[in-house]
Amino acid sequence: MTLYRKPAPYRKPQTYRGEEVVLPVVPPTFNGGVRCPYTDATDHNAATVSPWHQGATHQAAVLSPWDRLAQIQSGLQSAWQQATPYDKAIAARWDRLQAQMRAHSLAWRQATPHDHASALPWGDFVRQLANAINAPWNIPAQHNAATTMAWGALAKRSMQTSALWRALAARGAHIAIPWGRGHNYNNGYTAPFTNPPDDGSPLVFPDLPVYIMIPTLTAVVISGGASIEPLSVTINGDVDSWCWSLEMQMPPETFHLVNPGTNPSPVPIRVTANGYPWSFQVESYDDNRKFGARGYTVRGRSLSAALSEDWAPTRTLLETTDYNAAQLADHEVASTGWTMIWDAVDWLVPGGTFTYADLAPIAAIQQVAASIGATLETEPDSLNIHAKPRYPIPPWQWDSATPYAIVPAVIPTGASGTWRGGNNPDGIYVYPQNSTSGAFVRVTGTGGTKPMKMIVDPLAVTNPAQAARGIQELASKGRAKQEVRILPLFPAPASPGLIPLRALLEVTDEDGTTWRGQVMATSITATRSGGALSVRQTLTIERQFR
Amino acid sequence: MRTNVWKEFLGTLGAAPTAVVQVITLQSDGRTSIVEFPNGSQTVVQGQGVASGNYAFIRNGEMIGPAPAVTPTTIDV
Repeated sequence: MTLYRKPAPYRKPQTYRGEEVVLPVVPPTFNGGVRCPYTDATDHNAATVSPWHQGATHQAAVLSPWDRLAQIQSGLQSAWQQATPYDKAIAARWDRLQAQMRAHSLAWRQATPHDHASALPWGDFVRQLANAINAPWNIPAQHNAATTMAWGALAKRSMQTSALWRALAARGAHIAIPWGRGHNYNNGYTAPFTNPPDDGSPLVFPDLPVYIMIPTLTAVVISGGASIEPLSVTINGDVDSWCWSLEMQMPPETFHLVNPGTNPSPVPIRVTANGYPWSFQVESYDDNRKFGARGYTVRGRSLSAALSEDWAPTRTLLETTDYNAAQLADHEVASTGWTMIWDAVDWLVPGGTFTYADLAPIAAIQQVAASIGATLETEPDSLNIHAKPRYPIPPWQWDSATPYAIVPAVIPTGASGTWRGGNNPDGIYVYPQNSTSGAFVRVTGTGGTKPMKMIVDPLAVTNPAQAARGIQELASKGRAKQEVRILPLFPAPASPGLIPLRALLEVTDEDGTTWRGQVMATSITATRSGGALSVRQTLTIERQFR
Repeated sequence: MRTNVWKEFLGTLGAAPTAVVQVITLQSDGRTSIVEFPNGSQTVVQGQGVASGNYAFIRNGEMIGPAPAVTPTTIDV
């Protein structure tokens, strides 16, 4: 029989008097298990040491270019013991990241001018060269492409081997070589000319082996001549605007010279692109900020903006004395330093006819000019304002007129067009308000059977004025297409120079079509790509279909 | 910044050309008149402010006042 034994009283093991050794709370020892690996210490040490030796190699790789990152990443995925040295290496790499990014950015910046130089200036050069020598290989398309490729390859080789060519290409220079037999075409190529073809140009050039034109762009404050160091410039003008307008990117270092916020009045500046100067007053600006860069875009108009309602007081007038139209315009610019040049029909305006309310001088002159269909144009770099007919030559006479210039198909670097429409009216009544002299203006050779709306203008009081107005109204409603051609702008006497507004051009397209049109707007752009500068003029040419 | 104020100004006026016509008949309604343009075409406009046979300015189909008698000269250009 089993005797019942009362269990011993429960003693909390956590209660100690200090001298006991409490065995149960000692964690189990695995000395035997620990010792066992130590018997393999040599092998483990070898395995441990080996990656540490490799660590130096990885570190060297980290210091080298980014393209070895894959190797480092594979190393990171191996023994964890290598974490510390990799951490160091990675930290070092991030420290170097900015420098490496700069290096990459620098490389891209260098790439742009080379691309640009090999694409644009050489394209121009090929065209001009082909034009200069009346190149037979320019006519077939495949020959043209072959020529372009050859010149492109030559440009690349030249830039690699010649400091001069590289420097010229970086500046966007244009290079021309006098007419002669090309060395590379001695084999299999027969020059069709024994003497240079005569292009009819009256210009005489010095006999030099190579002609180089490097584009230039400057902008200075007229008072004092401080340089603004422009980055790029766009200058716009059109036949309906009385002034030129400017948009210019510039660095922050020179912005204070023209800042409209700190200068008491608009600062007059002179912008010169490839030797052609324009004067402007700076009237507004935008500042452009982004990480690591800041720039300004300033805008301005011709100095004649001082005669606009933005800067000149308006007035109300009733002219009670007889004056010619040109005199009325002169009165508006009296004592301003400006000169009116009336390049349009002039006629006598009876006293009591010319009147206006609250107009600035420019608007008052425009009122006189508009009565005969004329518009105003400020000379680019002098204090002269011209009043000119919008169409100096009626479009129906363009075919028999002498064009200002002939633009061959090889000259434009870009072309586009927009159909405008129109119905070619051939007659119009132009009446005054307070005179008995009216006119029915019709296109010669037509019966005026397609008349347009009558015009009644208080200032058109004589037949010459009415005829001038009628021409402009009929011309403006012709069936037309706005053609856009982008031409280089070369410094005088090189051609093409700056083509003026209203110029009649004869243009030959690549398909051989020849047509005539009038320059209605022009935009001169000077842009930099790296160190290379490109100056171009974009012409909007109105071509009419009658 | 504007460069072509006159064109903007003309744009604000809208298409409201003024024409000179000769009054042919004042109609019996007491409000309208038959007028003739220089090219011989006729139309009806509001207003009877100008006597028959005289010349008038019209705008937007409305007679706005007397005009001088104009005999147009044909000019080939």
